[in-house]
Amino acid sequence: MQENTLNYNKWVDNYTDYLYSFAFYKVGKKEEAEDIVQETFLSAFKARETYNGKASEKTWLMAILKNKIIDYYRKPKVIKSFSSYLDDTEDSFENVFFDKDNHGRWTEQIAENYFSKAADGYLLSKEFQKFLSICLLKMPVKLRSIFISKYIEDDIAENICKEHNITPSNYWVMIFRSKTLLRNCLEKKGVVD
Amino acid sequence: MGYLKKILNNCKEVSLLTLKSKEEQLSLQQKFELKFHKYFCKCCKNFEKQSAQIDKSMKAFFNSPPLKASDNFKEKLKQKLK
Repeated sequence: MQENTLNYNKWVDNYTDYLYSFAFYKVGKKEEAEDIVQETFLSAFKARETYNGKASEKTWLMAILKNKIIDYYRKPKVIKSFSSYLDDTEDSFENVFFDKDNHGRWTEQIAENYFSKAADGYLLSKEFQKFLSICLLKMPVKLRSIFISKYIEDDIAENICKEHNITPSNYWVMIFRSKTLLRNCLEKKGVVD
Repeated sequence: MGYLKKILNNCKEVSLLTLKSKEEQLSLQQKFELKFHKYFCKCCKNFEKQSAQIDKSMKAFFNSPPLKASDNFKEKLKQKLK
């Protein structure tokens, strides 16, 4: 019994930050992210007999976390009208990044940039990762929520659409907007800081 | 002429399609439009490159957790898992 308790303590020590980071960037609120992580651990604890060691503990816990996030988006109080978000912000997005008077080309000359010249090592450096974190936090939470789903165990469009009840075409618009905002923010960091 | 002009200039559609093409099959026509546009458009070529760079750094970002949950919270979890 003693030994088992130690094992579960280890789960908490080893994986809480990892699970919490995803949950926080996904839902944007500390309390809600904590609830999701807590429910993940409780479900894992209840189902501990079924863990067969085939996947790593981390992967197993991430799969449970993903289900908890799906449950979260099913709750009625969570605003999930992704498509009305897109409609409401369409014009402002277009006006900033695309030039209507010039056939819809990029407004800015984005061909010469600081981070496209960067070596891979720099993209993984502390400095760049810090910029990334600042820029992610600046993104509208609805957009970020969909965007980071892609990076949770390399998820594919089909699953993400189902889980969040969005159409594939809205999904691609959101990924496109996310990357447009993110690259714009990252460029400014590199130039200004 | 109108058609070529349209695909030469539609950066928004081209860059969106570029992202999609990493995961899904595009139609022959779409493939042609992408190639044709990107041959002339440095901006969209750059967008594609930066998109791949973002993917790479996003993966690294979550691999070493960017946030720390509070010690109180961890303690609370340990109490619940008994």
